[in-house]
Amino acid sequence: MAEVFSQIDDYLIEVDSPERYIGQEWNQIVKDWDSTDFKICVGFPDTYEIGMSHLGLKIIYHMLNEENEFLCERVFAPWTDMEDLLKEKDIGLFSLENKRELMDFDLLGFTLQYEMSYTTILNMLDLGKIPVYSSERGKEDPFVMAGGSTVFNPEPITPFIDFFYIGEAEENLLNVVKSLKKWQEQNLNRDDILFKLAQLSGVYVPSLYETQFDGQEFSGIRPLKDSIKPEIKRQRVNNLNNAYCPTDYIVPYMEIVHNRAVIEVSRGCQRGCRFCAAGMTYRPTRERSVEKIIELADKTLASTGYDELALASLSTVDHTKIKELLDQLTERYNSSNISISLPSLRVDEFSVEMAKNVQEIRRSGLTFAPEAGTDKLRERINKGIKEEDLYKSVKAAFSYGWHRIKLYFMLGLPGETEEDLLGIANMAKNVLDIGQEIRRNTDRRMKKVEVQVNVTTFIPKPFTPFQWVKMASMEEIRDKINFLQKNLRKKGINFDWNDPEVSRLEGLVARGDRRMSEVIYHVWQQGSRLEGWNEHIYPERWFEALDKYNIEIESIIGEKSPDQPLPWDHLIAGVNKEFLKEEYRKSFLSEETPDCRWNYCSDCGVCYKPYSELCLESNQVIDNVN
Amino acid sequence: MLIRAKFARDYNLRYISHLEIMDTFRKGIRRAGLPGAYSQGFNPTLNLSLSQPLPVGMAGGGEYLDLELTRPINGEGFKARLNSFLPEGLKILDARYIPDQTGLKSLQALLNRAEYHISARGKLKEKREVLIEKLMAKNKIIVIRKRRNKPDREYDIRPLIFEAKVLKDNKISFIVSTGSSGNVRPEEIVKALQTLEPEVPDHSVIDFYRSGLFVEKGDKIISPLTDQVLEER
Ligand code: SF4
Repeated sequence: MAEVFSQIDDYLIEVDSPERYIGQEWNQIVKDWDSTDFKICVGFPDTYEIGMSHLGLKIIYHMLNEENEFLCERVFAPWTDMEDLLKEKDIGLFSLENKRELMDFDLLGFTLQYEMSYTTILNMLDLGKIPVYSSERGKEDPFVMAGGSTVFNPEPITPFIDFFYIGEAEENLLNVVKSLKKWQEQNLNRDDILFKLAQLSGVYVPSLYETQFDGQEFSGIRPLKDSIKPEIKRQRVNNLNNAYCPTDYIVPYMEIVHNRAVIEVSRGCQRGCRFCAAGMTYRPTRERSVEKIIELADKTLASTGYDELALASLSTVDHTKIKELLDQLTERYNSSNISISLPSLRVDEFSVEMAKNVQEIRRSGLTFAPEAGTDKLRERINKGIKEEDLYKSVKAAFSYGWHRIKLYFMLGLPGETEEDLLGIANMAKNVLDIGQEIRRNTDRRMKKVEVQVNVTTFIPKPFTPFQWVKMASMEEIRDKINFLQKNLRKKGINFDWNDPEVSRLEGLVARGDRRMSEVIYHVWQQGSRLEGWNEHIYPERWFEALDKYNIEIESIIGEKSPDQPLPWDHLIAGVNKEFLKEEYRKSFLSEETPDCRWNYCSDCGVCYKPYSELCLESNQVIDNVN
Repeated sequence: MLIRAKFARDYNLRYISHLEIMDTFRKGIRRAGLPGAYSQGFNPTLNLSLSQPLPVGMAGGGEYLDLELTRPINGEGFKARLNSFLPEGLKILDARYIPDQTGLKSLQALLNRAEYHISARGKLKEKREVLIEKLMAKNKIIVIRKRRNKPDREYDIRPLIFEAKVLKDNKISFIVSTGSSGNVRPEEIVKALQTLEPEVPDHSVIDFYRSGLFVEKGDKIISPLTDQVLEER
């Protein structure tokens, strides 16, 4: 055990949840430090219990550890009490496996999951004794990389990250890391290595690009040298069945957010909701076959000992063989006390029926996301569900025995009117009425009906058809919340909302250009980190910093013209800009674009491989497309 | 049908809580494919019970578990199989198959003696012999206990301390009462020693080691795995 840990071990009794810092879980991989040439640490900029729930991090950890020439360890953000302890003892933030300070690694990779975690990245670098700015790192420092779902606009954190990996890890990450190792062994200097990295597919080295502004407006980004590619293409897996997928996941001691075996049944979603960044940047949908899913489930359950299996995906019930899959899984695991959960449900009866079939045990609440209050606004955002669909779904849910329904909506969608807000209130009341009527007429014992309404502020995100839309102001959102509060006062209905101020910050970072990096740095210098936690976010620090650096908020989240350059134009996420423009145009007319799996191809640009090469379970789908 | 096993939780897992240990055993048993019985109801879980919780921060060498079974399995087999599915630091030391559990007391009701070792520091290390002698010579040792929503209470722990002796390597051993018939917390022993010698430094939970839990029989303390305990129901 490394020396740093023995200096701190006895003091862990004084911090909250010391299990966050000790590692030693079942299935953890600890390789010999001295005999391994190239050392990687993967970091998640939030606490252990959040980070350990993240599937992408697990895949990367195991994938890199499969290689004998590397070791790959984990690090999470320490809670404030642990941070104080590290500082007091002058110990650098250390990895969980060999308990080495971050500066001792060759490569440190961060998972980007949400915008408000960026100050935590800075804090982890600093606590790990690594210079926060890339430009200040030298030969002895690790390379710092980042990737993940918010990597599609990396600009706000470019000065802190040496290189970004854009896209899905299984495709090309191993090649990138192997190349880096080779160049390091050849003793190339840091700049030469970065230059070489920039040649690899999916790698973005921000220091080799320069951004331009026209006053406050972003006007373009271009490589500093001709030999650097002007555009970076997202890496993606074509066949999920063949993609690397571990089954020997680490089993944490502490209760983490998602403490269960997770199998990714499909990746991507083509329903084309116009607000959804994941739906655009993870296209096209790729499915695992039923046989493969069962094989992975068997192995995972056996190697972890979990008694809950979650079928993960952006939209699990959209799997073309979902019914067959669930039938087989329930039959298989019925006798071994394993429960199956479906984390994401569509608003339709079929979904409810699928949920009923598997969630026989542990039946608590069901969640639906109609997103908007009227059919018209839903057409505008291409969330193709009708009010009637919701009522049919909840009717089914209540009659199957659920008594609590959660409804998610967004406020501040483009074109939203008072009618849409009233629509939200009406839907909630109608759902309650439906539930109460079923409760009155049933002879079963049914608990009191509860309807929970949650609203969040709509954030127009990069690579969505709404990337040009002006984000609603905090005042507008607050008025809407007040309006809803008045209209949702009813026994049995609970109303909750996310802080619109925090959403505004998320919007600013999501769409920010390189100027935002100064703001992030400033906010971190003021002591901010762990900003995903309510008790640690101080929005005023962000607004002060924007002022200090003379950045007009409107220049970032104001309305943009579709012809204007955007800070993420140099990335190719898959869907092309013409498609996004067309979708934006159609949104004004409330014209819907159907899922291309069951309808015509809407020419989004993602299928640069023939569609038939992408694995979908049902062949009929492929016929439709060709 | 039941398996009763003795286990150790090592120093490297001392920060794992009682519930987490329980959960770790449950997952280990599932991984090992051992024939554990499940509870009935909405949320079936393995019917597993553990001896008195070890405080977070303390290692233990003589802890116990009871696992209900759906089919017989011998103790040695259980031990060997489960050990290869437990994380390093959690180890089954001994196990016994009990075919019929009627009338068997639960571990927490049965176990009433605990032995703690402390690694002494400072004045406690220096004057350990004298201090131990003085402690055992007292008639009363009053400690103050905080109670939830109630005023603090004074409590005499002297009758609950049965043995104290000095071991090698600066260690001291105490045998005290544990469980529902009276419980002594190791920190309270340090407090009591401090009343005898104010310069005894604070020792926290991590300075202790619970070397074993026992059943008191006459003037002896014995393991819950012995025939004597298993026969008397
Ligand atoms: S290119 Fe066509 S078929 Fe492929 S995902 Fe886009 S819309 Fe669907």
